[in-house]
Amino acid sequence: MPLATFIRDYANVLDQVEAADAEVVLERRSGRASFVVAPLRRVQSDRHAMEAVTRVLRHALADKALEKSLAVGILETFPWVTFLPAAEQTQFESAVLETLRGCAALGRFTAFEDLVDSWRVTAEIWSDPASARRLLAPIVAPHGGAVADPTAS
Amino acid sequence: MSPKRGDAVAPPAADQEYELRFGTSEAAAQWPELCKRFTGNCREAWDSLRTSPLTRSPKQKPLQGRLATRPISGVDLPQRQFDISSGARLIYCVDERKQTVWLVDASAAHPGATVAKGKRSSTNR
Repeated sequence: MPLATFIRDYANVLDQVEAADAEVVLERRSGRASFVVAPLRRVQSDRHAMEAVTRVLRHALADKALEKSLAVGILETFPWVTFLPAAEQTQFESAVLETLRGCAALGRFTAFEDLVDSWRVTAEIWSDPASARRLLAPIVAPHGGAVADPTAS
Repeated sequence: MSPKRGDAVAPPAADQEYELRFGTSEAAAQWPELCKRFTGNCREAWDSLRTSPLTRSPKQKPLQGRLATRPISGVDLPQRQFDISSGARLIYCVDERKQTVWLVDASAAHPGATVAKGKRSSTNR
């Protein structure tokens, strides 16, 4: 929902959000950060659940014997991993486990989201091997022309 | 590395700003078409790449694995993606030492769009 719409009709929107025990995303223009409005009780219960899951995850990640099954879980969760070359699938699994350990210790998972997102766009490129090969090729003599302002002409 | 005859002229980069240059002739050919279709988003990218090419944001992200770096003029540079729209992207490399951003690809439809439509290529295993 655009932020301006919310401002115009916030009382009604808040009533609906409360009644549905839902959340609404307030979007701002020009790529600026969006915000979420949700009932406090919902946010608190989500947070408590996340803390519990994080504690369990922290123990699971410390157990080397569980690493293999966690790796299988990762592949199931992110099926696009199959587009990556075999060596990079292993690299992705290691990076995910390592980052999850760090995030679980801190209780914040933004770094995990960032890591997965950057591997996802990499896998998208590998889904077209010709495109990936092009982006791996060394550039010996760059074109060098200045990139013009799109709104200049 | 100097601009070629007929290239559009960009204003000089201010102090602390990066120079934004084409790394490949493909990118130079693709950029005008992309700008026609996504003028506002391309302007936003043009600003971001000149001022903060290494920022991590929902639109700007580093590539991983072997694609994480690319040699340009013999120097390995970090390679990153800027999302223009759900189907268009820029790929660029950042030379911090020379304060230069090399635009190496400006595709109107990136492979993810193909994946989303279910037209998968074979895997690279």
